Amino acid sequence: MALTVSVPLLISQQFDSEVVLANYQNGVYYNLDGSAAQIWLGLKANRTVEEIGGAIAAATGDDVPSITQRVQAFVDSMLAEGLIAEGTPEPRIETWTPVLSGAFVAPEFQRFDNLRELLLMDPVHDAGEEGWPLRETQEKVDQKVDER
Amino acid sequence: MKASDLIRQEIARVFAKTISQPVEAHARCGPFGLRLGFASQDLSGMFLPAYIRSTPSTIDLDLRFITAADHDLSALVPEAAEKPRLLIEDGIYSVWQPAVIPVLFAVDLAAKRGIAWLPNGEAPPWIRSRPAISLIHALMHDTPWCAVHGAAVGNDTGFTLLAGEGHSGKTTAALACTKAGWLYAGDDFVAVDSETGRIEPLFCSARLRPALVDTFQSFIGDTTAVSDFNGEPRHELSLARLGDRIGGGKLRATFIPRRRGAAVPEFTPAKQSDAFRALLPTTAYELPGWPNEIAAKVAKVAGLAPVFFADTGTAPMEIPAAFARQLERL
Repeated sequence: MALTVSVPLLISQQFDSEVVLANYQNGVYYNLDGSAAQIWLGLKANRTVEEIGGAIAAATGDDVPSITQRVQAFVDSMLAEGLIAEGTPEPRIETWTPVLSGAFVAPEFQRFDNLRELLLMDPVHDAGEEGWPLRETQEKVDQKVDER
Repeated sequence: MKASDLIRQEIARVFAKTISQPVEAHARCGPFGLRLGFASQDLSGMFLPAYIRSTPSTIDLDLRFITAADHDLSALVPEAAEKPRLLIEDGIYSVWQPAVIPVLFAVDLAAKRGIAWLPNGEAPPWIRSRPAISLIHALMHDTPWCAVHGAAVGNDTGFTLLAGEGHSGKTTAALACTKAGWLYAGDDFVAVDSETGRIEPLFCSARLRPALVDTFQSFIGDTTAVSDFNGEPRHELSLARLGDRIGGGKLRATFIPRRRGAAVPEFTPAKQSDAFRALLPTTAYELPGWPNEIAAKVAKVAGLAPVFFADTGTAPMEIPAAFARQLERL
């Protein structure tokens, strides 16, 4: 299954070893740190779960099958949360390696959903993709313009 | 006819119909010079107090405030008018905000002409305090400038950007510093150059909660309006009489106010990502369009200066000295 980190209405920003994801559709923010950020960055570099698991295991000195299993579980949870999607992967970045120190810590994302109230108050961002449908038919608009 | 063509045509028609307006003024808004035209005294009374008046200079946007009684722009109201809309097409940026009290903002970016159309002749209080900010956002597209949700005040050491959600204490801290003689750049939205860290005020308004009225009584004038929306009363301040003390400067630090029970102001180092999360949500949701560009600019702003959580304590007038000490330490 090919995976992409390019998800519509999901903004991502990397800050050193952290990744912040903002879902503009539902107002939920996510913080990925440590191994969670490295897994997301691995996917962004177009690595498979197995490649990410192997690279993290090499960096932390843990055994590959165990790490790969946990990477797979985290990828599944990101898929379920809509932080990644099935689709055309990003271009491969050959220089990618995970930046981790010390023992492997299970990946998890922090979820911030205190913005729902804001979304309800200011609904401009609910403005779908159908553009700006005019209320009047073209003939009526033209007729109105001609009358002026 | 495409929607953008119709909007462009109607903007031109608004400007052709009346060369001059009953009330006209010049203002500076971030890095831009505005010429403002109001179709009535009522409209100028509603919006002009929020603007930083200036002498006529470069006009980056000629902006007209009009109602349905002045111009019938109902043809521009999109289908399913109860839904908000955003259009960015062929040099036209337009926002339809139907919630509570409907307002239509549109700008022809090539002609540098914009309209704020109020079908009912009125606007929600938060729109009156930062009029047509979405159009300023559109002017900032493809520039390093960004309107960010935050307060900003400065002294000789530099400016601090106060980032955080509503009720976090931004207004309290900004007004306390202003009362202590600092420069005031805004309590809600300010303009920041994401490359240089230059901060400029967008408006000279501030929205004061009843609990703070006693502390900041000196900012309340005889004509200060009190709005009450959803049971949340606010004194709608115009700080225009601060004169030259409404101004900008270089960002020195970003503070994220929060109330954690400290008796006196306390600072805790924070990360660039904390500033990003504090700045982006309201910035992005209040300014429709170009979300990736906004996020990239806000990320840059978040990385321009050291970031601290600031527990602002229980005595507002202790904030200025604490902020000054913290800025001097950097």
